[in-house]
Amino acid sequence: MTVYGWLQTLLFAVLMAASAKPLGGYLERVLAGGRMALGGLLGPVESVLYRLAGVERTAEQTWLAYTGALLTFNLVGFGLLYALQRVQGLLPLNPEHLGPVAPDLALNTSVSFGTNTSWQSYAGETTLGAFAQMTGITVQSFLSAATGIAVAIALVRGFARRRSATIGNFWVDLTRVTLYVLLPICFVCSLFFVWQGVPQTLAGYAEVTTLEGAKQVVARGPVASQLAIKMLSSDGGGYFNANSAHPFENPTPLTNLVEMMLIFVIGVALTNTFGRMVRDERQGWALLTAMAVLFAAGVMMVYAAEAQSNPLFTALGIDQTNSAMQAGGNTEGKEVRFGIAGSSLFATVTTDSSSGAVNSMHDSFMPLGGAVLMANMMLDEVIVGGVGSGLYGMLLFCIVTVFVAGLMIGRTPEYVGKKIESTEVKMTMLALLCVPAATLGLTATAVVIEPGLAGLANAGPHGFSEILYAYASAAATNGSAFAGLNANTAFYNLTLSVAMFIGRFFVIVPVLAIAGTLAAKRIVPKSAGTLPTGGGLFVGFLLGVIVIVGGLTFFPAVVLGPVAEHLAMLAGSTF
Amino acid sequence: MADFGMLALIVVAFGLAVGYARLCGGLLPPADGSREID
Repeated sequence: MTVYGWLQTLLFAVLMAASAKPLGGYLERVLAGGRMALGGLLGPVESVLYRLAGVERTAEQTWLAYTGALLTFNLVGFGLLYALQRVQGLLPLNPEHLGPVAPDLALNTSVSFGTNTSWQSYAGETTLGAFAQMTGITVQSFLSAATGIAVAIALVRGFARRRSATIGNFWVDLTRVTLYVLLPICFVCSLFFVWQGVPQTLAGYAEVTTLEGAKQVVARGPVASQLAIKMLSSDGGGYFNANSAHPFENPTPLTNLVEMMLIFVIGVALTNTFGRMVRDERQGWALLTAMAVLFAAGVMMVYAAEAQSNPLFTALGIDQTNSAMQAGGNTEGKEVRFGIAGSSLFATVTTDSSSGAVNSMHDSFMPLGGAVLMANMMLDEVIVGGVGSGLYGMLLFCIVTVFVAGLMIGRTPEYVGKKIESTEVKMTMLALLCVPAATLGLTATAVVIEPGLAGLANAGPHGFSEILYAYASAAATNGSAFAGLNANTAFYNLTLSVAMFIGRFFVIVPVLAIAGTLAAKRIVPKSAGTLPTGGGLFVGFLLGVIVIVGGLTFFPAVVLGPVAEHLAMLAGSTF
Repeated sequence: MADFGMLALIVVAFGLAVGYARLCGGLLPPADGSREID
């Protein structure tokens, strides 16, 4: 580990903390529905969209109507993305003449991007042309991100409102988030990425002559515009197969830093938005503190694991120490431009959030480093998490925490002025249990049947880790891959689609139900029996609940994978 | 034919999500707050 490596992490953390308040305030204004500074430019567009869709912007929806609108909108999005891939051969802007995507892969990809997962069983540059990338993948990145933010804000309204039968209007939330938050940030960031050397062209792939005189095809396309929303939406689906390890998708150390910031920036800001909307900003800071503690612990463990020497190489007399001549540590699968610190930080950020972007190959991490990345996803993506999904995931854990604390002190639990009763706890458990059920159930199935084992590149605990990581990534709507597993088979395309769908919509539905039931309640004043939820005691409770729930649920599976591999490595075995 | 199968899977999945929402709705107390405790 180096001072430079730690400074890089510290700089990232400081920039993120500094962004929470200004962007959190901006998000609150956008979602409150008032006039915006960009209203002169985008206001007419917003009005036209409402008119075309027949949406009355002041009409609010009950939680069931909100859920119905969300599901209908996503159903149409899934169908359109599927169709787009299947008719790709007929579409323009496809100079490479890429043909239709296979049905099972098209299904997997449409579910993947519709659920903000961006699991990719395909290589972008050899599967999708510029038209499909721009009108299919990029559009879904925008809309799935806006959907996640809408759900989070609906839940926050549930906490903030009193005796209300409604939780907002899905169409208005979706439109305003897309117009006033996602599009402006992406426009600026796309220009930044172009300046840094990311291609933005419709000219098709270039054929170049290498120094040896051979001909080589260099893939390129409208990468910068997709890259901005890929990171900001915490979606993470790469234009290229190598994702953010590709020099056209992450050309400089500065783009590496900005990409990581984009992954986290909305998730971090939403904690502040939450605090503002419940009229107590300390509540938001408490959530952010809990996220920050888990993030710091993750970075430290991954960086420590990767900066260490591999004992199997040490036994062979290979020098792995950090020096002026070499990075040292475990450099397998890492881009030399980013090194161990840059790769460890990026890997932690991407698995903390729901971003599947990678700038190194997680399959090549040391067993304990890989275990932390898996654990980040298994904690339900609440360490900042996906845009919107991170906040509502964390609020679900807050409900469990006040419930457990209520049992300990014998009072009806409350959170930010709302009584938490059996209905909210039942809904919370439905939401929290479906992700581990999908992950563990499908992993257990895949490891005992031939189609599940057919895609493995490694045997033993490492092979188990590859399968476990894939389903954990899909169910947590992360989308990063451990690599080493050939998931482009009918079995994996279908079962991973099931995991992604459950991990997204079977969480969203009970979250919106909680929003509906909370909004209908009155706000109770604080009393002597109220557990303070804006301070260190609550943060400690919350961290304990997250770690214990995640640990108890997944620890046995993690022991069979990375922990067993680590112990085997110490005993001299590799897989 | 495969396309119809895949699109049918998408529709069935969303149908299940709608059923799940109705199930959740059935578990909720009345929205008038009449069962709210002090």
